[in-house]
Amino acid sequence: MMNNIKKTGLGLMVAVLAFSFSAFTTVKRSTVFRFYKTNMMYPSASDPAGYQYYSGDMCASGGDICSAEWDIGTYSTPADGAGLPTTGVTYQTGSVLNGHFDL
Amino acid sequence: MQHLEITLNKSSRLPLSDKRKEIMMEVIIYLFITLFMYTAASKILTIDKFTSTLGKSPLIGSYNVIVGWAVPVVEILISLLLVVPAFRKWGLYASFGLMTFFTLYLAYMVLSGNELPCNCGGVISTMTWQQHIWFNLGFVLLAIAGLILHKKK
Repeated sequence: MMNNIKKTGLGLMVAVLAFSFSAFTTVKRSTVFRFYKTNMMYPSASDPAGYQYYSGDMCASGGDICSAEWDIGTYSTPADGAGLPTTGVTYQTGSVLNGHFDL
Repeated sequence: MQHLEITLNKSSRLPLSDKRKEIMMEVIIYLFITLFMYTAASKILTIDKFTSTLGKSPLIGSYNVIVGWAVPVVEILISLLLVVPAFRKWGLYASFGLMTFFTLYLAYMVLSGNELPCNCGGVISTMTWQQHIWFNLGFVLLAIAGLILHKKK
């Protein structure tokens, strides 16, 4: 009986820790948003020009740059379709996803 | 001769004590709890992105919102089954079923030739679809191992 209580307690602890860790890593990135490269006239991933924000998944297979993450610092949470500001934002290295933007 | 027979018979079985088997089963269970709770949290907190990705799947389509909420809820329920020792057998069966289902879905998507949605909405988003299939297969095998160990208990 005691053994079962210990096992249940340990299982609950693992569950809570895993849930909390996942929540922490997800929420922690609250100033980092994924923007989509909608204008390939600006082909460089680290160039803030040509990016727009969408909350959903707008990528399709095929292509070099679909989206990348940007830390928008003090700017407010973007709305769908909003362009990425060209100053005061930081490109997140290694965050580029291959593919192409597909609305 | 009888002693020799007994020795030979014992050595033909896996040299695992009951204690080791129990520890292995506990590890498998905690791995599943960790996996399901981690992915459920991630899906719930990015539900817009998750349901959007599901909407691009030809198998799910307009049921994306229902499926999008059902998946993390089922994962949490299975985790709760695994937490309670009395229900662990059912939790392991459910884990096996869910991971098999996920693996078959991924395999269908890869083999169907359909345009694959981007991984950026996925939970373990650094993996490709093919890598995800192998990852899931690993957990299917773990579930089978857990069920075998539970049966031998």
